[in-house]
Amino acid sequence: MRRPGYGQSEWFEISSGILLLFIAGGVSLFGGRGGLNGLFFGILIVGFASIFLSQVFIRQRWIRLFLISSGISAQLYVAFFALSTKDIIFFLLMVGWIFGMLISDKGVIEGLVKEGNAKKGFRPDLLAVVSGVTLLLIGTILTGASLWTEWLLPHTNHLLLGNSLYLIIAFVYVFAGVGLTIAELREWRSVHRLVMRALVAVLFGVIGTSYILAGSFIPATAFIGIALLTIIGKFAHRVHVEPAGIEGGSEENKMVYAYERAGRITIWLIILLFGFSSIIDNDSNPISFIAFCLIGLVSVLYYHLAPIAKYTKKNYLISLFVVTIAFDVYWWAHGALESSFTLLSFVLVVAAGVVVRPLWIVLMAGVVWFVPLANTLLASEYDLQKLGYYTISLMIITLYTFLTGERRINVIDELAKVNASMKESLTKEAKIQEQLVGKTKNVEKANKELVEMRSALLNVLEDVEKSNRQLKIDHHRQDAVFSSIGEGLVASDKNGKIILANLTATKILSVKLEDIVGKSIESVLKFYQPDSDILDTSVFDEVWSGKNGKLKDNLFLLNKEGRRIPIAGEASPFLDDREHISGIVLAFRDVTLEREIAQQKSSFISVASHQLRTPINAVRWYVDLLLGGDAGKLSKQQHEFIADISTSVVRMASLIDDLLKVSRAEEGKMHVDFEVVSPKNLVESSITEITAVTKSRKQRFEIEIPDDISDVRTDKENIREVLKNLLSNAAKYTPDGGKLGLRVSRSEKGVQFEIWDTGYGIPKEHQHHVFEKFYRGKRAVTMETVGTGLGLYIAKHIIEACNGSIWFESTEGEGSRFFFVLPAAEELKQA
Amino acid sequence: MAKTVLIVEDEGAMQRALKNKLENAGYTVLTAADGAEALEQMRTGNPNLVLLDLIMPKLDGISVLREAKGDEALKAIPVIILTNLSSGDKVAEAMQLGTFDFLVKANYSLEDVLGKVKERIGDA
Repeated sequence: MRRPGYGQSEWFEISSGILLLFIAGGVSLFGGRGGLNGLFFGILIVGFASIFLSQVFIRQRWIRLFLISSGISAQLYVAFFALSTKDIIFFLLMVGWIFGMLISDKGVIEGLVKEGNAKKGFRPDLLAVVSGVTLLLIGTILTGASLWTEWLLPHTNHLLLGNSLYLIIAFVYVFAGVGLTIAELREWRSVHRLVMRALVAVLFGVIGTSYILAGSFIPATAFIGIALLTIIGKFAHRVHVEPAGIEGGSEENKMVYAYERAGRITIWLIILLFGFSSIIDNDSNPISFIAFCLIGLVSVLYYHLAPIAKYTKKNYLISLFVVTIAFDVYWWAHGALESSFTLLSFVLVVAAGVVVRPLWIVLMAGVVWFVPLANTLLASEYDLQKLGYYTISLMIITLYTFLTGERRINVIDELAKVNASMKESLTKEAKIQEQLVGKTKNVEKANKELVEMRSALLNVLEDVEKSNRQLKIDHHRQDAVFSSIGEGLVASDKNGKIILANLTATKILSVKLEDIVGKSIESVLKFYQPDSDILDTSVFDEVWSGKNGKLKDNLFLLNKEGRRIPIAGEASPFLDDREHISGIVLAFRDVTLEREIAQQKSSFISVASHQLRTPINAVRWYVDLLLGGDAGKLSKQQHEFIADISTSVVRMASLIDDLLKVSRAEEGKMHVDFEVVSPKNLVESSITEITAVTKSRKQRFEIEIPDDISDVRTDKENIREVLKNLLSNAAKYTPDGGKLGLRVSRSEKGVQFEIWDTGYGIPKEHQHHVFEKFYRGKRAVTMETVGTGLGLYIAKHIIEACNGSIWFESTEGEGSRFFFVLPAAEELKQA
Repeated sequence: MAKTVLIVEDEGAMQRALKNKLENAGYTVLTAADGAEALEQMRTGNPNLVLLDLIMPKLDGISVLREAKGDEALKAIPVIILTNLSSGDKVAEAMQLGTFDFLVKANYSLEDVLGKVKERIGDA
């Protein structure tokens, strides 16, 4: 429960109420006839006043309840008095008023009672109700008793204060109007209502006072009671009622507001009764009654039952105007000017209250009210009561419309504002929501795309990884192959910069891979001839020209440590798709071991041969001795045997000789003694031997040597041997009776020696084997088992070592021609 | 008096074969089996000719030759190298030192050797 502080407006109200009380009380005490009635009422009023004051200052609920209940009981008392005076109308009026008050204040009462119920112990609220009811009962009993005694009901008329009363009322009215204007300008809204309430209270008090003066105490009490209630009710309302009419208010407030409405409905009904009373009382004019009824009904319907909306108010006004003007016209026609003006004023006030500011209501009402007042004053007679009724009705209307209209307008405005703002925010929200949904959709879409991209990327990554792994495997494989090759491999790009080298190569070179990569290949692979400091780059020359190159025999590779390593190998160019050299690769191997082995083999053969020579020689000489008869004469058989021994020994000796020669040739140790010698000289030594053979086999031997043939610079012994070999071959492979010969001639290369025969020749398929080691033609083998197959091999070596060349021509069945040419001495000399 | 030939040869069989051949031809034959013996024989034996082998223990042929040629008493004695060696570097040296002939045993029969001896110093 709120207990608002008392502001200026409240004090104004309070003070006006108090003033009214005292006036009423004083008047009723000292005015009128006095007597028990007056005293009774006076006590009542004083009692009210004191309770009221204490309620204001103490603010006890129970006091308020007491006041409300006593007020209601006072009204009941008045009602019964009215009944006693046979003033049925007034009785009904009072009952109606009470009913209305009860309804409008019901919520308040209930609230107060509820509050009291919550507390335990002493219940002052109950006490208040009880005392109020008690007073009522007392009053009722007294009234009932007076009905039969008639001594409690004085009846008098006092016209003394008649005119002045109205003047006072008029002044009050004007004062109220001015006050309200000020309040309006300063926007004391609640003040308006308070002031109006005060005004109503004052007026009712005044009217009551007038009744007292006129001797009518019962109506006076009624009016004063109403005045009091108005004030008290305001307090009660103000405390409990928050801005009513707005949805969402508390249940309590809603209830209060409902009861307020009910109260107002009652008031309108009372207006109806007023109308009704006026008919019965004076005019007996059914029209005015109907008019009042209609107006009241319409008001009720529109103002209370219809939903609160400006347009309904407009409709209400329109209907009201129509009705009013109709009746005004009627009354005017019938000379009932007062009535018409009253009605008109009423309508105008209502209209003003709905549409315009309360100030205008006041002014309008004031102006309109003055007309009947003036009329009355001008007229010789006037009806106080009637005027009072009109005033009351006017006041009620003014007050009510002002109160409700104002509040309603405010409420409507507030509601409309709130509605609009809510709509706006709802629309905004909807828009935002839409945007969000749109955005969410976009995000979802982007998300989906990202997910797809991600999975695509993952796929790509997988593929890349796979190919990576494959590459690694291939690489490892390559490395393995590369490393495991027994030969050293070094490759360069087309600029000769080393791009790779395998493990064997780096080992042979005694370097680290990183040391040689990028360096010029010819600067890293340095080849030398034996006992030479000149670089042999022949293999590079060959390979860079696009051919496969071969490292010369007996080359050495200079390694990082300065060692010369016996080396053998090949080089190949890399060709790109356009047959351009994009690089070269060299494959080489350390042949130290090979050469050592060859060396050892050679030296073994050499040594073995030498060792063999000695004993064989010894055998030969002894055979010679024996054959020569130095050991005595031999028998035929002995001679034969020894001859055979000799043959074998000779063969042995010659084989060993040949082996020695071969080994020497292979070692490269073929010893060549160059001297200038004439071909004749060379040939001479071989002639004797060969002629012996040809004679014995009946072969013809021809010799052709020009006398002016130039000398040759060559190894005498070796060439003699070659000649011997070739000649003996020619004789061997020519049948008995055949021809053979030696021809010496000059050729552009030097001196040419030709040994020709008419023998069996060499079959074509065997011709390229002729100069090979240990080769003997099939024919040769079948003919003679003597022969090592080394002769021509050795001959070739000798000729080549003498800077000559040897070749042959042969036709099977016809004969052969063996040629060799030696450089002539003059040329050499000249060279 | 018969001419004397000194045979310097470490191989016994060959020595005897040569000796036999030469003696049959009428020469007086002295033998030496090594270089030192050879020089001694040259000094004491007064050979008309020396058949000198090159490969010998103690002192090889070339050294003998050198010494002989360096010796006033011996340098006039003609020398024929009779060897199994066929390498030429020795030939040059031997020639320089004054050898008349350089014979490779494998290429010459005993008869050829006898012929060379006769050629050099005449008959026994």
